[in-house]
Amino acid sequence: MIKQIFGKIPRKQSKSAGSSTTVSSSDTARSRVEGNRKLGGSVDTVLTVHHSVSSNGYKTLDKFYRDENLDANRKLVTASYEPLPGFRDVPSSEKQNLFIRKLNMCCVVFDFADPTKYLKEKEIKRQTLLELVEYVTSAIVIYTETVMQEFVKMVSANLFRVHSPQSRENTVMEALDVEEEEPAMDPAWPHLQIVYELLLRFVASPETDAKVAKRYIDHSFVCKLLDLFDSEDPREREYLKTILHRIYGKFMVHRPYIRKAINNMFYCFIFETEKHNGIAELLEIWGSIINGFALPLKEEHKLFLVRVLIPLHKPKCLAMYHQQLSYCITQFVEKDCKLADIIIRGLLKYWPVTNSSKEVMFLNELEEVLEATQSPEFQRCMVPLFRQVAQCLNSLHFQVAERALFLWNNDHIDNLIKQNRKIILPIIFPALERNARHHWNQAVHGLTLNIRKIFYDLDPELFKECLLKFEEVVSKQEEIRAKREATWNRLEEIAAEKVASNEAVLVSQSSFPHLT
Amino acid sequence: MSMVDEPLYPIAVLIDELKNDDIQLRLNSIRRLNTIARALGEERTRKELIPFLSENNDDDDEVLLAMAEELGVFIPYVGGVEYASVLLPPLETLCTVEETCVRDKAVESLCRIGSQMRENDLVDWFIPLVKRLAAGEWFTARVSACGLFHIAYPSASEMLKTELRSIYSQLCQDDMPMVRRAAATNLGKFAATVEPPNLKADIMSMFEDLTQDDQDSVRLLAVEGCAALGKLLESQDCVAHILPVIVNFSQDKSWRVRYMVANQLYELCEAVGPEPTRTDLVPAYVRLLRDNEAEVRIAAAGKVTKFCRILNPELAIQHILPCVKELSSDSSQHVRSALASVIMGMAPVLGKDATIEQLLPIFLSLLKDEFPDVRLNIISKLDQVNQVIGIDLLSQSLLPAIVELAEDRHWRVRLAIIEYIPLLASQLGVGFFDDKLGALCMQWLQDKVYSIRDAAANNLKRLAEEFGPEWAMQHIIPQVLDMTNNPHYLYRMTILRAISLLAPVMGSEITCSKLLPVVVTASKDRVPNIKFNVAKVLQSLIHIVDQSVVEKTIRPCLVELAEDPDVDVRYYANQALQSIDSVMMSS
Repeated sequence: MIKQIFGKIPRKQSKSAGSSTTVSSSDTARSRVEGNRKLGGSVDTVLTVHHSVSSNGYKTLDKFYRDENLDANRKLVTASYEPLPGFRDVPSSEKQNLFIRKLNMCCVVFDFADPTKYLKEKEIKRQTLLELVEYVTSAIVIYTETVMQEFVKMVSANLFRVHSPQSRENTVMEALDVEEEEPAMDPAWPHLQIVYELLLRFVASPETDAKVAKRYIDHSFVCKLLDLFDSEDPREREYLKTILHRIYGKFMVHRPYIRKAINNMFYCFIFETEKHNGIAELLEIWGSIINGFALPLKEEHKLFLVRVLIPLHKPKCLAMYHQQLSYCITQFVEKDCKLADIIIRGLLKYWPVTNSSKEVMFLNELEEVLEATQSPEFQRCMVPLFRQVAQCLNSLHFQVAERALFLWNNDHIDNLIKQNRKIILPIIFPALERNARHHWNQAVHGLTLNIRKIFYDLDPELFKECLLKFEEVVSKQEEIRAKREATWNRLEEIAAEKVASNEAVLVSQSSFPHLT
Repeated sequence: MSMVDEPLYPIAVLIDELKNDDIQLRLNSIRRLNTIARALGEERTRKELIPFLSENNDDDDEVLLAMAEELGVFIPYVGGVEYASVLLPPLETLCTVEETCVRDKAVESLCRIGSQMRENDLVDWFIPLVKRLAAGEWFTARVSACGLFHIAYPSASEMLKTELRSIYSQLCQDDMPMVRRAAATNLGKFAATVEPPNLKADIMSMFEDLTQDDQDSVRLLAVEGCAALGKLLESQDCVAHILPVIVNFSQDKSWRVRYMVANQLYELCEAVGPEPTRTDLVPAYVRLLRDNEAEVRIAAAGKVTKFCRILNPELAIQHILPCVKELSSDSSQHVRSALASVIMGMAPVLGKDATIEQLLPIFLSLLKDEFPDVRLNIISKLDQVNQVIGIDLLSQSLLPAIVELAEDRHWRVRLAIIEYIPLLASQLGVGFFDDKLGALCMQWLQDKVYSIRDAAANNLKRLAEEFGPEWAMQHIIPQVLDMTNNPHYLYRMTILRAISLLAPVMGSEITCSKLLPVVVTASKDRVPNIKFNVAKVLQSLIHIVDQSVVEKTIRPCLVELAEDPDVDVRYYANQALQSIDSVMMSS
């Protein structure tokens, strides 16, 4: 109680002493200092304060600063942005207040687009942020509600921004080497990094009481944090991943919300945009969440597997997050081997048609899943599965064919196949035979011959049976095709007859011109 | 054939085909659904085929997509509009599948069918379907539902209408952003069917919900709704409800939303009318022109002319022109490029004085821009420039720009400028052209890049058309013929190409006297590629010159080529000889 009362006095003093509208305005609205763009060479610095926290009331204030007070603000900020005393230079009783004042000071956000502007202020802020980190690490900070509020406000002011669009400059005329795109590094990183560091320490600190903090680390905060995962800067995503994971661990009440919000991002990615930079990081968090699932698995989690993880195989940029996705999937099979059938059928549904490198990824994942698959589930899906494997064996891309042939190197899979050879061999035999006769790639050719031999040695009867069948099908191929064509032609004739005999009826419906 | 006598069961054929492993075969059979339906007849199609299709929905997405499309045009095969409702169940199932393309196509087909259905059938079948989808457990159904309301609503009773509006309002507040986005996308279409009093009350409150959504992807779509809604409302309501939203959006914290406003601003102005445009939207537009985000400025700059047209000249000069000046030296080339492509349209709005005083300097500075795109955009609007300020004033600045672009290191830039040469020629006139640009046109014939050489040949033809054969005889033909002895065979080939293009323009006489001899000489070239191109050119000349010339000059030349050691030369020579014969036959 007393601390809170004390807390207010120096803050008021600082307001009047600095007479800083910007800093005080940052109590209510986030302020952002921005150098205006260069206009026609004349260097004209105008300070705009904008971007409010999305809470409703701030908008008017925000507009006020943008439109009316530009010049006044500029003078004030540049004049008032002075470093505060260090934590060592004040008595212990003052430290808590100084902490809050420093937090307030760091609410001012500088524009890093122009590296020549506000150099002094930027450095002051960086030093202040470092002091904050040091203070949070070394001393025991008492996170009162006021501190939390100010802390979260400062973090929000700095982190929650809308990512800039990807630069067009390197896509149009100049760049011939656009394939190797460099990830965009945020120029504001020197400040952002320390703010992330602070947030991480805040969330991880045992002093932070989740019951109180959940009022500030609330749904809206989590939602905005999730939006940041689309950042192009891998350093930022790394921090976000660690922080969100800690939040998920600490704030039990938020868990369902976080799961739902992440899933919405996945849906948007899978079904609408196919563009998001942070899928791998989000899946990494999921990997650890799945790892902690209790058995038997809840229906909700199985639904997540079917509705999110399996469809995540669809987007063309699968390579960006396949490793993490595959880890999540195998976790599921390992937890509950009955899911293998659903997963394998899911993979078959999204099996790539033209993308060979994606196909190799699928085959890798398939092997991992099969590794954990038991006989009953295997039998349930083996027919469609081996139809697909047969197609892979015949792939003209040697890596795909080779990868499919390597499935036999896995003892567990090899055993499953051998046990069910009566069903599987007839399905893949034509593919093996075709490879053996004319696959262009030497390695594929050799591997196929080995596998053919394995089957022959194992069950010569069955092998001969399949060979006969194959010869028969090949010889009848043309006949089947001709018969299909004849059937359709015949249908066409019948259809034409019917239409002719019904002409009277049809004429009355001549509003459908494509009929005739 | 014995097969003909066997009984044939159309449904069985389809079932059989849809079991095939080969997806292409399954697709083919779905594409021929109407054959099956016609063979079955209308009644059996309704009773057997459609129920079968309703159950056959676990196929590949590609097959389902084809099915959704076919069903959209299936009304005639089930017996006409009175039976249209039997088509709804299979499409309803397709509206709930995972794949977006399939759902979208199913919704499209449902709309197509619904718009033909009789009113009481809509009430009995279509509206219940919409309600079921809107209450769907999974988001796919609810997303699809959003696209069907505008078909269902008009034929509903008062009570049902109220219910439908309230369902839509729930969709606008759905838990999943996917559904809210679909609701925002379709709001304009739905609103157009709603009666004015309900529009003001219910629809506007849905709209306001969407504009305050915490996902910028939803707000973004709400912006698009602004223009559509605005056009439906009375002007004063529009000013009261839509205008503040637009102004607010133009300051949204998400650049994507601001970008959308910039893109839509012109339509929004039309919706609110001229007076509020002047007072409220001009400041908003000026803000967008000065936005921090280049993408927003690009979108805003591209609309500058359209926007000025709805303002009076004073306002345009006072508020917009200063921004245009700033944008012409913007740090982003794309902003300048967007500006360059529209800026000349401002001239008629500003009037001659303001144009010469204020617009011309901007225009000239863009013409000297360091990025070729910007310059190209200006040059491509040359006819507009000419009308306003006249060529004399321009030519000094224009020429260096053109020369520089003509030698740009990116061949696509060179290609673009070549394509504008005929336009330039017509605007600048013969005199100017001869002095300055004639040499360039010849230079392109020897470009390193094939596309440029080809375009250069084409350009010569278009110039000859523009200025006439007599001019071409002086300024094109001699120069072209000079190049026939170029040591590089690719350049010699270009000349052949130019000749074949010029011949029809120049006419029989000049072709015989000037062009044909050169081609005949080229038939003795040592490179086979030249020789078979000679054969091709000769073939094209048959129709231009007299029969006698064909027999006297062209045929002997081709006969000789037909004996060539190279197989391709022989092939084309024979082709040409054949076409001589067929011309003879027909005449």
